[in-house]
Amino acid sequence: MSHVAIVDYGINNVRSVRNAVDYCGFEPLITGDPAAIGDASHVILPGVGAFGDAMNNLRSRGLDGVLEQKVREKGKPLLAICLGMQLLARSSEEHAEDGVPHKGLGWLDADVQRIRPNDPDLKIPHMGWNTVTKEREHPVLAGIRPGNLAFYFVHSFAMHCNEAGDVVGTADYGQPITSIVARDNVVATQFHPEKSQDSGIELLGNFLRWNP
Amino acid sequence: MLKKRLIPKFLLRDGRLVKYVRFFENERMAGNPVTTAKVYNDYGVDELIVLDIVPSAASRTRVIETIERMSEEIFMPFTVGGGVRAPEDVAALLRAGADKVSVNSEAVRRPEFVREAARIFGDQCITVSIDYKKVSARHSNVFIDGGRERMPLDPAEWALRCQDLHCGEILLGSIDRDGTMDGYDLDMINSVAGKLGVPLIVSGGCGSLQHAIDALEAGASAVAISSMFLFTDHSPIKLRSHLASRGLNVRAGAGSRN
Amino acid sequence: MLSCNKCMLPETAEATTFDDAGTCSVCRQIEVRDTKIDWDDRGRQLQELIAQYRDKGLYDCIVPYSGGKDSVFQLWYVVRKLGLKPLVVRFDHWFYRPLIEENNTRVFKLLGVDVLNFTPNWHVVRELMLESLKRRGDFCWHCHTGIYAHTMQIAIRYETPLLIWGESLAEYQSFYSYDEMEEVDEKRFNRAMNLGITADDMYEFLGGRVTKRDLYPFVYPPRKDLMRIKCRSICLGSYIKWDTKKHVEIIKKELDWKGQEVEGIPPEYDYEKIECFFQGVRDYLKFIKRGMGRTNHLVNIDIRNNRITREEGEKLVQQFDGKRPPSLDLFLDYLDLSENQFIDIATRHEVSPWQFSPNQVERGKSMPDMDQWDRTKVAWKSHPGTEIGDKG
Repeated sequence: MSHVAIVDYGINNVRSVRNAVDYCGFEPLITGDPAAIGDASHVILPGVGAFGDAMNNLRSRGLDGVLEQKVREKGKPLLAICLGMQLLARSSEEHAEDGVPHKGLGWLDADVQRIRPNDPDLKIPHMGWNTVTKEREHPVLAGIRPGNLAFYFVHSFAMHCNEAGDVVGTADYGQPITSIVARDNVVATQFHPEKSQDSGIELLGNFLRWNP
Repeated sequence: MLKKRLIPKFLLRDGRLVKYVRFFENERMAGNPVTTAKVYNDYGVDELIVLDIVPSAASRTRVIETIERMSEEIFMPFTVGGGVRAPEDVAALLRAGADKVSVNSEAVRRPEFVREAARIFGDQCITVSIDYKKVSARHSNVFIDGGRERMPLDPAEWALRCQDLHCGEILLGSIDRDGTMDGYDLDMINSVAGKLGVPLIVSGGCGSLQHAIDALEAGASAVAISSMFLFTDHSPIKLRSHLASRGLNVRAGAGSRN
Repeated sequence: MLSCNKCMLPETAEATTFDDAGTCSVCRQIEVRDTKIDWDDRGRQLQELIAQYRDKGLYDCIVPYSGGKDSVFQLWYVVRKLGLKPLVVRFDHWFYRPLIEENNTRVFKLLGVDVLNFTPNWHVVRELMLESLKRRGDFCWHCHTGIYAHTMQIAIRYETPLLIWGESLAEYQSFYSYDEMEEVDEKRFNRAMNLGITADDMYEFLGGRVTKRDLYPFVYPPRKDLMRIKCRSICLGSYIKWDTKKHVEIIKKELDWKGQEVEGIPPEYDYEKIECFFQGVRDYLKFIKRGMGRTNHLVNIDIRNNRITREEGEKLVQQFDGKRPPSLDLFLDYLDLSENQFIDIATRHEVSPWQFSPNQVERGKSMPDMDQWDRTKVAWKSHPGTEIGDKG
């Protein structure tokens, strides 16, 4: 059985993602090696922390190019999580210096902006369990019952998609929060499936069994 | 909408799960932390708080082992704390599997530490934990060092100052009510919750399903519960279904899946 | 205290919710069972499943067995309808009534099966009974964990990955719903069987009174070991539409299975829970904690299956529930507790909003075989006391 590559680019706590992949019965490999990523059956791009730092880490390790060539061009299934999802956008205003946003991978026609809920009682970050509404079907949501679509979020910035078809699921937090996006062989979640108990494990399992 | 959270609180002493009343009285063994965490995970609690109440180098090793083992089969957020004094402590706990790290005594001694840790690891990774006790009919003080040392600090004021230090959330615990199962300190919740810009987790005193409702309706974002789950037949499943039936916004999974 | 407007289930029942119409989730589950499940298709799925396990090892499957109405029906179904070769696995909880042994002899002789019985150490069981009574107001921890954990250990030892259990929990409670295929796994063990207490927890609670080896029968095996044998642990009730009364008629006819009177319920329910002589104490505890006894449970089943009306049910509940069972005398003797201590422990575990009134309790009827229930006295080295944390 070939492995599942979890991209290592110097960010915190991939342990849970690794354990979750193992729990689903697959072989996780935390790696930054282009060959190992190229040989993987599936690739996971996790992410916690700041957008600018993350993009710098990816670029300095040449991983942006590796993901472009070995994953996007080859049609290899990729699951991007949390900050990983945001990196797929064209830009993010997080910690933007002099108002100039950081550039992302640009795989989706989308931008990342600060969450600004219209209710002053809503705290930032958006942290905790929230319900995701399905905007369209996707294989990663197979078999997850409507009453079980709550997932664990922790973020202060959210993705805004210009292409409505890219949006698979949204949550409500005083504004719509893009929660699941997908295009071709790429799917991404703003929430953490590896922290979302059964629903998260099912989603992850669905991804690992997905062959687009 | 974002759900209110139901959070079991674990106290570890030398790596063993224990429970007291008012922090020091009536010590009872509370089980095995890893299997108990698994049980709570299967019940569908929202996250877990694990605190090392007599921190040392040896107990830290045990806590790390415990978190690592929990992370193997439990997939929900963990907040871990006890003796966190430096960025290396935060990093070690995050590496072991914690999602958030709780800082208590050191936040009082050196508030800058909270700001520093939030900057390095992200606001959402840092929870400030505050223990307090009544010192007169109308005043309470913050107590640090596992409830042993009294500080001339009002807990409500301190909580409001902490959010300026960029912590992700606040865990506010009444020592007087700890383990009594007589209800949360609703006066304190009422005086703090509305003014805080970060989520408030309240701790100390939950003994019935109604206590949890009262605390959440007073404005707490989450309730931490220990004795009620350990020593009564009110399980997290009962709590969730009771709260959901009464219209509170909690996760209420359908069937067996959480 | 709220109750369902269709059946009589109170809000204190575990895992149950009421919808906007005031109907409980269990009633809704039964509606799904009766109207939304394609049972023919489920039957086909069962045939496909067992084909994967037939003739592959020493046994085709394990059938966990107590001798009560459900497990006897399961065994009959597995042998006579599915034509499988089972290993019958029985866990002795120490409280079987004499009639059970007679029934079992007939059942095993007529069906022709290999039977494995495990009896745990009484000294250990007694400690577990008292500790779980103190912590949860329920003394049956050893029985539930023994049946579910130990049987899984047997599956691994005998490399028999298919286990066929009985009815789905969705029949009576809302831990599961009927549109799920209930797997009898560790999650179910933790949610619904072990009172939230594992063997590792018990070891800590008992503070040296038992060893880790003493507790091994109650340990759920590691997930990796179960995955290695490709374990499938299914409920027969996920594949065939459950009908208790019909099943009882079948086993009475085919296997000469006999029922008997049981403490605290109407005599016409002579098939219910006949296998345990402390069932009356168990029901009494449930009444003290949650305000519902076994008659409530039985009446709900009949209401949901359109056999009686709610009015008829209310009369039966009023007449039979909540009485003090005579078996409590023996129970108190086993654990060296006074009745006051027992009530004190039990009321600590009341589930809100129910409150128990001890002075309104009547004494129930004694069972005819009560003098045959064992009275061997085993002295305690030191009594563990009635408070959690007593060092004994």
